[in-house]
Amino acid sequence: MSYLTPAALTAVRDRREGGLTLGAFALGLVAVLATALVPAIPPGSGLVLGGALAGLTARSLVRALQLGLYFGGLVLVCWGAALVLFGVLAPVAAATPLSLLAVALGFGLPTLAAVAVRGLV
Amino acid sequence: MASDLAGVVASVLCLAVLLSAAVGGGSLLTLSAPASGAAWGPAYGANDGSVASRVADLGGPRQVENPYGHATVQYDDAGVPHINASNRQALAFAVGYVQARDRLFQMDLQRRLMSGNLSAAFGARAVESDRFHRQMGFADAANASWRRIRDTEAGDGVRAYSAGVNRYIDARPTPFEFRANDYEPTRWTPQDTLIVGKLIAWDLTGDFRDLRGRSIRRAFPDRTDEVAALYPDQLDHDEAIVDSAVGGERNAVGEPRPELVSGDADAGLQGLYEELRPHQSEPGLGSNSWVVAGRHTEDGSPIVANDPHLSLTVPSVWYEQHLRVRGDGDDAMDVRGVAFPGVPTVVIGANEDIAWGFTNVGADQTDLYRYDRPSADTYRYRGETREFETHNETIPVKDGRDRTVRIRRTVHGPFLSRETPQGETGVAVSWVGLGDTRESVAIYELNGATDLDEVREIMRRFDSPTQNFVAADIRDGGTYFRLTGRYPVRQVGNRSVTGDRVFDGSAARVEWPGFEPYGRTNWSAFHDYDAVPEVRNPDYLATANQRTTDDPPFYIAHSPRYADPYRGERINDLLEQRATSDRPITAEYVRRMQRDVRSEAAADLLPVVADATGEMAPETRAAADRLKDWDRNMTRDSRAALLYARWLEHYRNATFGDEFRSRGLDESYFPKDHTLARLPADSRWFDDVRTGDRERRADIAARALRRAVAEIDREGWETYGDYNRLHAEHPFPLEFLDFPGRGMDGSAYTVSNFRSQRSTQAGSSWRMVVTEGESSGVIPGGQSGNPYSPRYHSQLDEWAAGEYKSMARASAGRTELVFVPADGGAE
Repeated sequence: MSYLTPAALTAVRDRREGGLTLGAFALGLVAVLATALVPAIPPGSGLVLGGALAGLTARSLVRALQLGLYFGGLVLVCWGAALVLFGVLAPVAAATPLSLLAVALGFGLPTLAAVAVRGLV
Repeated sequence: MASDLAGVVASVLCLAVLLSAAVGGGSLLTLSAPASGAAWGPAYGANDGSVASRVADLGGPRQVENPYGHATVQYDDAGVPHINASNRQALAFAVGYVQARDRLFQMDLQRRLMSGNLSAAFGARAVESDRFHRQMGFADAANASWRRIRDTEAGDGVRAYSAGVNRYIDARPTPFEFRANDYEPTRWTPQDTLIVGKLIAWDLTGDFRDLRGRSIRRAFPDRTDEVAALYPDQLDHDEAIVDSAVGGERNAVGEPRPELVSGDADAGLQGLYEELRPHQSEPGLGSNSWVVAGRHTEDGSPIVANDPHLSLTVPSVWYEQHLRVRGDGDDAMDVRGVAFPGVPTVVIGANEDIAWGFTNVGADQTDLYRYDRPSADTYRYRGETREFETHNETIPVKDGRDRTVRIRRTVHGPFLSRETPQGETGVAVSWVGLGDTRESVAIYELNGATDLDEVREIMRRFDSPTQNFVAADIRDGGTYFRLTGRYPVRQVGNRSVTGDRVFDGSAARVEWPGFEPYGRTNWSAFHDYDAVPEVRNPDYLATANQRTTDDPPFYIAHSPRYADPYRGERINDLLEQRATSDRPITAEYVRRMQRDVRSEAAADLLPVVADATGEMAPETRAAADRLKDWDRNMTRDSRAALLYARWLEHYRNATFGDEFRSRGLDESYFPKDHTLARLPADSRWFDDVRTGDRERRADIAARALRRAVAEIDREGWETYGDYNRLHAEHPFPLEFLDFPGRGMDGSAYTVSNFRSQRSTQAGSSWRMVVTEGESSGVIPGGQSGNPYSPRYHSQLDEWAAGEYKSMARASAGRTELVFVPADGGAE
């Protein structure tokens, strides 16, 4: 519990963390999809939003870190699957250092966002 | 409480990292973020064969509105678009769209380079390039050409093409390079298409080599005759194109050689060549082509072979396309071949009746003029003082302050100068390409030509660049050769003169009649079209950038501008061997010729090594023995080819390097290897001026081989392919954009051409063999400029292995794009 965490949120986290996390992940994926489809939305903001939502649902700071990593991994897996469907997984993977940076950002952005949010609320 | 505090600290730290990533690493984040990063946008539509693409196509092919009419696009396995249109403008629109789809960045880069707008996209490092290109006024020259052709049918085609490019720019995501460099393509204009033509022409015929000769003469004032012998008017060989043609009817009648004018206008141009040299094409661009008449082939159909040796760029220089206009109307046509991205028409290829190809002539298309200068803003001309035609232009610079460039022009063309301790020194440049050239009209018409008489008439409008043009009538077996381009009349009084000196512009010496830079040039005032060398119906004829003819009707060029004769000699030998045998020349035989890697240069030069074995230590002698037994084939797995290649480099350097470098001339000033091979054993050039001894040829040959062996050991090279490697690199410093490297066969002097030692490597940029029913071609890379596309370098393996793909005109598969008339009208 943080200084700013409402008691109700703490209670909900304790009772329904699993369901909340699923919802956060789903919303986060929608946000990531939106950033991929709408050029006006800053790239990476979907990852940050998804991580922040995941952090909001976490029972602890450590759990937030875990959920951030999980969400990042989920986004990368979904993206990889999309690249397979588009037939470009291999050339995208070969586009180093950008592809390596993408993996780092995939894990890093939501994790940072999750910890940042959970540390405050 | 302690955990709360830790949480806040962690939160603040994470926020700080996020913020710094957003601010400090913003561009990388924007580029690389998974799924949404700008770098990945072009990936999603890159593979037409993907599951996603096929699902998207379930609703039918993608439709694009075309204001000019109906067209469909099918892509074959190599990514070659087969475009079928209702009329030529509808066709041009579709071509613009598909070229932009595959090569928009390359197209944009070319026009930016020539118009002096690179800095606006790439920053201050391109300012000097922009300054030069603006001073030359290539954009104004393209404008002049556009004014000349805009009311022609070809002009309508260029307009429609431009509209097609812009439709793609409006409709689709920008290519990777724009995103990576954070800029947007601007609108494509007809002048942009014509400036691509100026770029090609400048690469092939634009240079300042008249100043090069001056630099050499000034460096050796004490050895005038010896130096002159190194750069003869003509190399000593019998391989001139027209003269070694077999059969056919020639038009060119030899006249007395033009006289040299004095070089007294050369004074006071110190350092100018060295300053301008970076803006001319490096030596080493060349090409092969040959044509064989039907009477020498198996089925009576002639054969046209062409492999232009241009820079091996990423993406590839050429874009292959198959263009068809349906029906029986006047504009019906069916043509396949390659174009420069940015150009709507097939530049090298074949239609149902005619096949054709080009190689560079090497003609002298540039003259330089110096002036008496009463003041910084004026020059003397025909006894009066004139002001330069002057204006300022602003070079926009990305992430930097804009620069101003002062443009000055004289009656002869742009004035280029440099500051020296003695004051400003400069020359005006007359280059044929600065006129309102009409090559775009000629190529447009050539795409639909039906016989060789029509071709000959069409080529009257091919004003620039100067090319060896070969063609064949696929149906009746006829063949044809001529030089394209316009050749300025250079005279002093009634005497014809050469153009390899700087002329006195103040005295109006050797002005080109009819030439109006950036204006309307009277092309008929240039040398008469009918006097330009041509051969009608040769049995066979080969061009490899060697001298056109031993007795030209007017000055075309001197030996430094022509290629050494080795490739031409080998092609002529192979054609003669077969033609004089009882076996016909077949397409397969011609393809084998294009893959030939025997070096006639090695055969010419290596006797020098054999003669020098007495001067060699045992290890070096072993290398010489290996060379003696070598078959002269420059194959990647050959140790002897490696020894020879490195020996030649050291031999050249050991012969000329001591004298030339000590006088401020680098290896680019060295004479041709054909000249080196003919230096007598006791030539003074072999003497190393740094030693007290008097070296002879054998000493230098042995020394060069010793150095080559040591270098090979030091570098760890085993075979020629370890040294002769392909490095085709994208302009951006991202390794994944480059083509995969590999050891290569071939050299500068082999028919299968590969020049590994240029700053941008060069070689066969398109191999084509055309005969009725069995045409084939290959490019060194791929059709798509999209690095995520499976066609980015899908032909590279075939090309490197000397294989070909079919150039069939048959239906290529599913229709991927349909262009529908804007008004929904009839097809």
